[in-house]
Amino acid sequence: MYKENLLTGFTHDQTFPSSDRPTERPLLQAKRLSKEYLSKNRTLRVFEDIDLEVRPHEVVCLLGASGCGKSSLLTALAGLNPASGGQILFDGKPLNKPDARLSLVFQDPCLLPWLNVRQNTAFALTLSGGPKLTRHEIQAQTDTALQWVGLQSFAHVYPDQLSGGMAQRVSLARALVRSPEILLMDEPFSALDAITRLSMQELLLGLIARRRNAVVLVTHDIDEALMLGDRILLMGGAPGRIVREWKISLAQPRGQRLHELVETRMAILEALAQVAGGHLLPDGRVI
Amino acid sequence: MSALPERVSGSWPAFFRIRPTGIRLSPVLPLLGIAAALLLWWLATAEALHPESILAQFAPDACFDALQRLIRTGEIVPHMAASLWRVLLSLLFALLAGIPLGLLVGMSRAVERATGPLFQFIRMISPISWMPLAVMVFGIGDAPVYFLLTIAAVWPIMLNVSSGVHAVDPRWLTLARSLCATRRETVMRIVVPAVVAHILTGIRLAIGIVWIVLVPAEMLGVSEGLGYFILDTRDRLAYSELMAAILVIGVIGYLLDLAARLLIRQWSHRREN
Repeated sequence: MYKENLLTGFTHDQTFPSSDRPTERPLLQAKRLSKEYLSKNRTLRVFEDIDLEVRPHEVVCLLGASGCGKSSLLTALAGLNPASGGQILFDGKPLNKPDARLSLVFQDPCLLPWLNVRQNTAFALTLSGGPKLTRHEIQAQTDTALQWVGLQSFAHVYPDQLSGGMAQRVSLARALVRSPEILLMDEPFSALDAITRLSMQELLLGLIARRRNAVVLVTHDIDEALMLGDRILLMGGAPGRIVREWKISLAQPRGQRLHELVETRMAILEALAQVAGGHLLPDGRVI
Repeated sequence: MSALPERVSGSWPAFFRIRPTGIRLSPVLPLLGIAAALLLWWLATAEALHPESILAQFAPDACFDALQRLIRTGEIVPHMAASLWRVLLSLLFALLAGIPLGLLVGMSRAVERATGPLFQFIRMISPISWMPLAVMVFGIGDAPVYFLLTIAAVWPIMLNVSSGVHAVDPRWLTLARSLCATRRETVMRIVVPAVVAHILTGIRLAIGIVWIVLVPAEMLGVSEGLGYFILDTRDRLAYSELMAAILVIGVIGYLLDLAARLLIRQWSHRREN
């Protein structure tokens, strides 16, 4: 088992502005989105009346307690789980199925055990859904993606030899290799220990700064949302709705300046206490 | 201090337990088992114990003499080659039929429900009972043998593949969808690699069954093969050669199973290497 390399190769000397681009056309839009399941002859409404906009290069964090429908919303936005009502627009056009310009990062790295790190990373490029690439182009793009996540020297290693953090880096490289316009991330760091999570958050910030992807990040960790998000959307209730929104104007990197967001953190905690109730943990995380 | 007893495995009284003291017996145990079997064989057939009996022709010494002669003269080699070729070809036919069938049954609940009772019904019919029908349909020669061996081998492969498909991690299928994989790509790039271990297990089970069915199947009017050779030795009253043929069948069967086990192990450890 290889140990997690905490040196990501990124220096955060560059700052990039938080989202304050009201005039920019939304990249992804959800309009009055709702989702229902039929369970034992009962209709179960997971979320409803979701209005959401994600602009280019923006990081939107969806925060909420378990079961409030945030993961279902993310899979609906990824085109994997058709919504029961409302509409999703990607780049102004209806989105009804997965699109190569959107990449999903799961909570679990979900690597294919029979493929090594390079083959897992290149997997999306070898499918017919994307542009036709030569073997040389695939290799070059894969090498670049592995370089972004600092795993170029582990290209021939198989998933069962990777630590949790390294496996999640491979899944990030696999998502980035097709240069998507939006990364949809479903609690990607929740299974990692605190130090590895911090390292992964820094890595993601570096990648966002360099790649300029828009990101929708589902999380139940307030600090993670404060550290990464340009906007934080709080989901709550049953069925789930977006109940509050915060804009975070503090420039990146925020790792050493999170104390400046204490008031926002308190406001989020108070709002969470109202909507999450018993799900709220003393450290501010929600279950 | 642990509340558990130090040895929990020994429910047998100490008198019956074999306790090797100081000597590692485990590598020698298989040889001891074979030696015990040889001893029993000798006791049951030795001329010294059964004077003027036909049993002496079945005794180990007569058998090993015959085996040595059969190998030296090369008389048994074409029969071994013919049998192995039939096994190989039948396994290939069974793989060609069993893998797509297993994938189809595993991936479609409707097909699984429609074919489940039928396949279970056919599977439980001994392949040997198809013999008369096979001869009527395919005539005398190699064709009915291939049919019998294939029908014996197809079920373990098909059932293992379909259970392998059921065991495919659903997250991999979601991943494939999220990456815009086509249905064909999902099958070929996710499902098939995921069921390789199940295919290998199916092949191992199929080899065991095919090798058992081979001998009676080769009694169907063919002129080569170990099954034919058994009948031939019986007709020539060459009982020591008959025992030698039985020994050869056992050894080849063991080696085939060993090869299948090594293949599975090699595949399992390939990634680590």
